[in-house]
Amino acid sequence: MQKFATKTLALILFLAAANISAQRTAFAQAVATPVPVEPAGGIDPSKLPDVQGLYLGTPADVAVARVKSLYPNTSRNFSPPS
Amino acid sequence: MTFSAPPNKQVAVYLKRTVHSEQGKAPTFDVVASALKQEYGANPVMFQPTVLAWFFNESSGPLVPAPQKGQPFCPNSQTWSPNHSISTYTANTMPLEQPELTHWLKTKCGMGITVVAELTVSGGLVMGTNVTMMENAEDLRDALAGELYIEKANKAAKQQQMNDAQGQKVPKL
Repeated sequence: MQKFATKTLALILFLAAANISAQRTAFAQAVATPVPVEPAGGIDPSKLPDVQGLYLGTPADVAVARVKSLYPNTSRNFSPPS
Repeated sequence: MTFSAPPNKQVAVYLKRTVHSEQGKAPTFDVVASALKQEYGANPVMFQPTVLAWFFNESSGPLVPAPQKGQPFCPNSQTWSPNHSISTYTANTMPLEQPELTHWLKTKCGMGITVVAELTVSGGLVMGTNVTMMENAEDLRDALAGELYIEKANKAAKQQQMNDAQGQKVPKL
């Protein structure tokens, strides 16, 4: 009976250790997930995709000017974020 | 169009254009798909028969690894950058911690640039086209910078509050 109890305890400890190990591995993988670094030399918006000449990565003032030129009669107020 | 927020330079990180076909002038699916492929690349990922997607890195090369058909979040991906105003980037006012950052990364449709075209097709004709493009990497970097800025400001405000409290007289006990 005592032998059975010892074996059960050993199994429980083994499973607990395995669970902690798995959690640590998962956390390590999460920590290792990289935040993307800006390319050396910066980003050239003109090389990124566009809609009607409006490119991703374009500074706010330039983008707003482009929208105004595309839609000069719009009644909306396009103001660059302050 | 959505811009990223300060303190980083504010740039366009989200663009969306919707085009509705005029009555009797709707083009065929093949014509629109061909035009899209000419504009964004010959081999889009087909999330659905009428949803085409392209992925690029920030140097306009192919994104590796590119999200595949089963990848969630791509057709309905959202920016972290605010579309109106913002007081915090996190789900609450607590500082950003690793699990939430991991969530941010997971809910992005690839850590680069995405272009998703959703076509509304009826009887083989395209009645409407939504083209959405996002700069996910820039959006994430700017959101992180913004969150750190907010946390720093909150910390300073709290410290100021403590300083003010230390100058208060003890009420009569």
